[in-house]
Amino acid sequence: MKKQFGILVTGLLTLVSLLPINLVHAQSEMKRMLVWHAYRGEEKSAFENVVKRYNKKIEDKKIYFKPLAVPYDAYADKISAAIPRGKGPDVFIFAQDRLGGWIEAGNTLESIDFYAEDEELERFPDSLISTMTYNDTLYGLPFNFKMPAMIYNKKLVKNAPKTTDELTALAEKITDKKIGRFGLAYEYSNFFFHSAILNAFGGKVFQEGGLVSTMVSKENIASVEFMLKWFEQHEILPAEPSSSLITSLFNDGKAAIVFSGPWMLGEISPDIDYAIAPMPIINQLGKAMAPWMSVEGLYISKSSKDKEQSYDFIKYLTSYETALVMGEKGQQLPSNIKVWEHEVMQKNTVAMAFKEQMKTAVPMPNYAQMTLMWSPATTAMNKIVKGTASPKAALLEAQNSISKDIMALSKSH
Amino acid sequence: MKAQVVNNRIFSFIVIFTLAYFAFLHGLNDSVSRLYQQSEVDKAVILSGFTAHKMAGSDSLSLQDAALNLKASNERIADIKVLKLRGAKVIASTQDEDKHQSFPFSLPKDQKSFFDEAKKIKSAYGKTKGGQFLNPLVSYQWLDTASNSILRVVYPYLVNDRFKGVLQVDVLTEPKAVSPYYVIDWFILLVLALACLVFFNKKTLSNVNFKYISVSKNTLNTSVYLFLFLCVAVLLCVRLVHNFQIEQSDAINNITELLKSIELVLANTDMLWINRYGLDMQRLDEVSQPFYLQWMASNTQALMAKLFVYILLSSLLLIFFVSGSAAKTRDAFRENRQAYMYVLPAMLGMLVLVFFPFSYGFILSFTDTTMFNESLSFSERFVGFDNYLAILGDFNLFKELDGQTIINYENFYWTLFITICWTVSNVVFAVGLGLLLALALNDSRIKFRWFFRVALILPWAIPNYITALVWKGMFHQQFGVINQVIQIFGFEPIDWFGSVFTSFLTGLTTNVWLGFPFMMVVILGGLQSISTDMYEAAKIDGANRWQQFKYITLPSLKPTLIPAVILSVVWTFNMFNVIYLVSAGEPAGANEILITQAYKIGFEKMQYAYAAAYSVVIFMILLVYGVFQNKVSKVTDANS
Repeated sequence: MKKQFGILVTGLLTLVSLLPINLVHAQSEMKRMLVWHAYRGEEKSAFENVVKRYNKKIEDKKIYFKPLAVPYDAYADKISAAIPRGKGPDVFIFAQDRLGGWIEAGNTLESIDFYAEDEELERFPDSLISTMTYNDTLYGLPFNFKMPAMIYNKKLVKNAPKTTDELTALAEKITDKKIGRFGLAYEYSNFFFHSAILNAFGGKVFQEGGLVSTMVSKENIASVEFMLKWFEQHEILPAEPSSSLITSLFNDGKAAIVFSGPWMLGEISPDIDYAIAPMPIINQLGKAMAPWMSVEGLYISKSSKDKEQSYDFIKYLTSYETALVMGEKGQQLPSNIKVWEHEVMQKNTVAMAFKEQMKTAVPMPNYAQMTLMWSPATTAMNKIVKGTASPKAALLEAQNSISKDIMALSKSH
Repeated sequence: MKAQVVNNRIFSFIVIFTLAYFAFLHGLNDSVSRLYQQSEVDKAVILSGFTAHKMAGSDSLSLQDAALNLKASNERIADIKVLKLRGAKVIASTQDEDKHQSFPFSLPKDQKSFFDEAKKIKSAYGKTKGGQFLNPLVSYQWLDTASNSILRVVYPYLVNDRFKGVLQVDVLTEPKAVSPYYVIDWFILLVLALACLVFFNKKTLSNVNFKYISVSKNTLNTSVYLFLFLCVAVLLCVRLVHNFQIEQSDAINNITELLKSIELVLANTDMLWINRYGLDMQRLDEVSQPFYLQWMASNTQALMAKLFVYILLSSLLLIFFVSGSAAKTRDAFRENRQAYMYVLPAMLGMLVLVFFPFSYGFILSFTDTTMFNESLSFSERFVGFDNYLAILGDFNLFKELDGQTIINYENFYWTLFITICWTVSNVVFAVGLGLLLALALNDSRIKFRWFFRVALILPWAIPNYITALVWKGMFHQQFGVINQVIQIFGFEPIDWFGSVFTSFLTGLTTNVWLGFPFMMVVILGGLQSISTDMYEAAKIDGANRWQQFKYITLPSLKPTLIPAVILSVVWTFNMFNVIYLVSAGEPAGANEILITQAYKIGFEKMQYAYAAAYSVVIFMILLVYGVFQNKVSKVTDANS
């Protein structure tokens, strides 16, 4: 009796476990293409909306794209692990900083040179296309861009300073260390933010090709000395800056001007009346501060099931109508330059300010070796700011360390 | 019963011998076919280079006619197709499907892989390093068609030394069969082995007692079988290697002939294209050239290494079966089937979550895997103990910079020193504080004991990364509460993360804050289990409070305290969160501990294998500590 019951249960369980297979079969007439992204909130819903529209457009092709939000922390590692083993998404979105690494590792990104026509690329500014290019080969289409600009508290700053001299004078007036108020706050010891001064001075972190570190070039030293003047001479900057410190200072009205990007806007408290302007011109150079620009690209995976369709999809994502949705509903800064003439974008003062900043911004290098630069550069900047090493000595140490790491990587090449 | 055992043994022996033999044969076949393929590839590439050279030099004819001529003149060329990279245009093709096209035409979308190959070759062409090309400039692929095996070679198409596009040449190859005479070898050897076996079995083997050593019957039997197996296997290997060398010289002759025929054609022309492929001009010469000898030697070595691994594995298997271990294992499984079923889920979990990642990391540590060469095969990445030598053999504790001598904070021994300081100080303070608080809370005279117990456990209950970030904020130079308190008392604010010692203190404070509640709870539990009779007896004997503590409390706490200390040492040794989040190794990586350093090497410098070796070293240190600690505590137990 017991045995029979057991057989019955086993049989039922087997049947139940087979059911989903049938369901999958019913659905599999439609080919599913997977799109990975790391969007949340408004950006996510705008993106999903756009994908839905595209799916409607290609309905009769028996194919559809499915967006999948992947948590940002593990995103890059998932891409590196999944795609070379023939798994993972067909299309994915990521910033350009990992591009070089993936190309050098191989079997991750599909070049789109074969599909892309010159006329299609005209919708993007050249500087954005250059971020998607590696070794003269195009690997993706730019989707949107981000970079720091000058965000200021309107209560403390009436007119945005146009030059660094104006900025310094204004910031000195506002700074009151006793109550912990500072005229200017930004993550000056982080090279990503320091890049604004670095690029204005003509500094570089790598020689063309990314194989030789140039941390200790005289332009780099000059740029660091310029920053030190703000910190030591004018004393307008807080010590030990971190992104959370800068946000909380700004929200408490204790930082008049900060250099930060669109990612900070969501964290600004509603009590603060702020505005955004491009970074000022450095008087001694007559050139504007030029922050690094980070560009999100649309890439086709090497293991994509249908590369031609994937290209059609990413082309659609950068089209005028999509860019407008992503700009308006998703609060992105779309790479499609024509969209910026639309009145919706023109009325968006925040977006327009960042667009203005883009004119001077420099695309962040996409060399694989870039990832080796951050940690030694931060160490060097901390040493310089703490006064334990001269700019030259600290940058030299960073350069030595980066060169050693490049050697370790290329040895195995 | 006895006969059955012997039969079992003979049976196992034959099965394993046969399996091993097929493994050998497979190894040989594999090597021979790779050898053959390599020689065919070499030939095809040389032929394609020759074709490309001819095509580029054909000024008088149109490109299409030149292609057709070449195809007609050489029976081994099946098809030629030339692609201009700019605009992906086909400028010549002898393929049937392109017959009616007018040249040039755009490459159809479904032939994108051809374009990709061309792109790859172009980027390789652009990349040179000291006059040497980084990547091979040719790519090839086997096409399987019904009649002939075709090798498709893609070769750079240069006109006046300028990269114009690529040439795709389909070359017919000759099929190759491995000759069957190995089977005869096998029969002879098997018969030999069986004859020996029968001979040995007739002489009943019993326990042998020499003067000093006694060998059990079982061991003797196993040794005999193993010896037999090894004799036969080594004989077999010698034959196989010999045969392989014959195959090899065949393959080399094959190439040399082709090279000679082309050499005649190209007697006075530019031979650059051969250099571009990476072929040495020497290879055009006789077999006796060192290049070939080297090639042969390395091929033979590879085959021998393979055979050695087979012999080793087969021997182990043989011992396992013949010595009776297999039968014992089987019996154990049978008898305790239920017990094994119970632990099965846990074992599976451990296998997937612990043993697999661990062994993967262990294997990884013997390679030079970095971000750049992940896709290479294991044998190409294998470097032996290089990583361990680099870690443990680096004694450069100081380095010169800009005329100054400073401590090299990246050195392993510095990091190890910091890690040990970190672990010892943490455990001492956490245990001390925990003991103090536990003693206080165990005293029934204290009011609201329940409240204090809950309150003091709170630091433990809050996720440690939140606590770590809170402490980091408190140590901020300008806005941190600690410096503000210091300023109230009229002192200068301290730059906590500026010097090695103060930065070390920030981590220590945070981790002791996180660690003492655990110790307190453990010790409290231990204290409550000590019977009060002992204290009363001690009081009567006139012991004071300190003597009571020293002779009753501490020894009674030992059984609870020692495991807690061992655990705590291991946790603290690998306490990633606190170091990473609070001091982040500041200043300049001086306060990095081993585990955060391994993270940095792996995920900031992208040297995966080096980081894996670092982790194995950490594991070894903890293993040695664990064994040592275990021994020490056992000895002390025995004494008390």
